[in-house]
Amino acid sequence: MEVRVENLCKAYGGKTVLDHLSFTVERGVTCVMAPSGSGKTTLLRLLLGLETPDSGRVIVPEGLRWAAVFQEDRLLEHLDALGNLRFVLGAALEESQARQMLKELGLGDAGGKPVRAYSGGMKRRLALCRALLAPSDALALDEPFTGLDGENRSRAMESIRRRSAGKIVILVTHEAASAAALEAKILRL
Amino acid sequence: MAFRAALPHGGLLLPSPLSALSRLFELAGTAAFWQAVGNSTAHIFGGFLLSCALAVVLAAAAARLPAVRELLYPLVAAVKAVPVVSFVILALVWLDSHTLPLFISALMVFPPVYLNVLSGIDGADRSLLEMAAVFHVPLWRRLRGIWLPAVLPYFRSAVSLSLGLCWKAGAAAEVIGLPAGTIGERLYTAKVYFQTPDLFAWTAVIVAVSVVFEKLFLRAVDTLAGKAGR
Repeated sequence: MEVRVENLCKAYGGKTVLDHLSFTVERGVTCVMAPSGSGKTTLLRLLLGLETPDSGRVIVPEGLRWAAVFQEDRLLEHLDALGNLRFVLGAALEESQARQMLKELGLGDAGGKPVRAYSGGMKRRLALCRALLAPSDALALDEPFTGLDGENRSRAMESIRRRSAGKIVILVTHEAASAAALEAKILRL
Repeated sequence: MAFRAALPHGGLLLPSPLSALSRLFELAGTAAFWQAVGNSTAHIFGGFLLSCALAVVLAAAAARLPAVRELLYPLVAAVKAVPVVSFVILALVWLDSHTLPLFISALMVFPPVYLNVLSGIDGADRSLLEMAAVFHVPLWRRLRGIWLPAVLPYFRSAVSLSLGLCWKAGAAAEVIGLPAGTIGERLYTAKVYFQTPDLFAWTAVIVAVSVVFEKLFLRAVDTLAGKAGR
């Protein structure tokens, strides 16, 4: 199972963001590293099918299921943590497994509070929890550690390591330490 | 005494609140009163419900299909600008007197509900919709989790505004069309026979029924919003 990118080009308002980009990612963690504004998020959006490339193509195996942590948290603010997980997983949500995962990420005591009452770091961890629990073959993680302190960052990395076995993981970050801790292959844009 | 002195002609032009109230209680004791309230409610509230349903469906279609939005724009603008009485007179030519208030109240409700629901749909969080698409969230859950919370506040304010409006316009249509056994007919009769206490009593009935239906409908919308929020 692999995701292949061939000669991908994308420009916004005349400014080239991605210029004939080609690479292949396989199972395991691949870390996309590049300075800010160099098209990392655009690349993830193209991989997820949320944008159409100007030219080139993204080749994914038939029926590949993505899960993602977006640049923004994209949570339903009026729902609590379980409500947000249920929105994505529906009847497939196993509450005990979800609670365990929330606990792993330090959200065990968030209770039934609506997400709008969460701190930035709590929202980020819940977004990660959602991506890791959703049935998927590939994960697109856009700066999943933003706003996390040292302890929560370690928890998040541990969860990614444990829950993404056998999946394609594309991690966008500008922190070399996170990539090293996850033993990620590096892809520089 | 001071109040009576202020009312020339024995309250013929302006009845005292007491005489209007006592007339209201008298009327409420008759079967014809409740029949008139029932008939008018069926016409006006029926028109309101039909119009709401149509406005929501068409707003959903317009949000998805620009052609529908373009097509409806001049129609909605015309309904907003043309005086109600012009529609009433026109509709009198096409419709029977019982359908007239239903049509007119539906017409009054359509623009605010359609435009508000469309604004709600347009304002739904695109980033959440993208998230739902990536995670393959089924349509029903998207409706409940994203669309409904976005649309309900707009729908609520439209309903609050248009329920009073449709009772006013519906009653006016009844006064002009004179469908038998309705509040409008009774209002007209009161006017013809200078029964001003009746006029005030029936007006109070319209206000009361309008307020009751507004409260009940808004409570139903709030219950729906509460369920969507869970």
